[in-house]
Amino acid sequence: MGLLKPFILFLRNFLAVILNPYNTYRRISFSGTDIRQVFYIYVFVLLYFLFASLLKAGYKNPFLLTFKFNSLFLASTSGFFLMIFLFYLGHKIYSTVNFYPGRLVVLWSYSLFPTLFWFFYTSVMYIVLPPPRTFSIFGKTYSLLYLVVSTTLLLWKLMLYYLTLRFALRLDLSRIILLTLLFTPVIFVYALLMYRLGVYKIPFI
Amino acid sequence: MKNDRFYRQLVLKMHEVSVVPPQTVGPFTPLYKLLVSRLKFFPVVAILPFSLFLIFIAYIFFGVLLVSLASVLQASF
Repeated sequence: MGLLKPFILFLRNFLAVILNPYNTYRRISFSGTDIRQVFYIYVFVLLYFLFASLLKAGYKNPFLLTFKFNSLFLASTSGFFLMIFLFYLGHKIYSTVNFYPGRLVVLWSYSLFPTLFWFFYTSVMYIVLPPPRTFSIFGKTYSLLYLVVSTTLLLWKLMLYYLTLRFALRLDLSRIILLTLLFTPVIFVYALLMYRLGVYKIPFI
Repeated sequence: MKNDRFYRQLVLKMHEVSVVPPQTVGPFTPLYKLLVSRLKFFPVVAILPFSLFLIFIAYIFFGVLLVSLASVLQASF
């Protein structure tokens, strides 16, 4: 029963983030946040990591599978806390309201959906139509469609990033842009580090 | 009046709506409002054609390089 209310909240907010993200983020930031709802988001994240680990390492070598899963989990957790820390710095620099970590965690967790969709989509398409693409008409068409979907999810992600800063820290557009300029090199270094460590080529943020 | 349920809900909603002041961007405010109004409800409907347009422009400039980019991205999960 303890997890039923957050589950209903999660389902409601999950659909609302797709259909009506602006009002949903505003409502979540205003009406007090039941942080337990993010548990279900991370269930999906963990399911994805399991799926990706199976895809990359196979199931015949449990050591490799466990290693891959743990590295994905640790890398994404560190990425999540890095973002929360950056937002906290942003709050220290610009925000005039009180800092509520719970509100920030819930809003930023919902912004993981476009990331999760992209990784699931890419992984599934990797099985259905493995790369590399050819330069035939079918190869080109598929590549362009894949890029259109990827760009759509990226823009959706950027929108949720904006809404997180707008409603969790109550910032305006100019301050969000300035903070983004500040965050970008840090995120780039994190992405480079993850690439060098061989965890993932595109960071799970 | 203060015990009226509808009144209390209305006040709460008004507080929620005014949780952040309206965003202005100087002379571009009307354009900003127009763009944002399309993104507030089911934004995918607005984002998808825009992405299509972006990729079309990118294809004109970069051509088959986009095919290589798709191959790299598809192996990047």
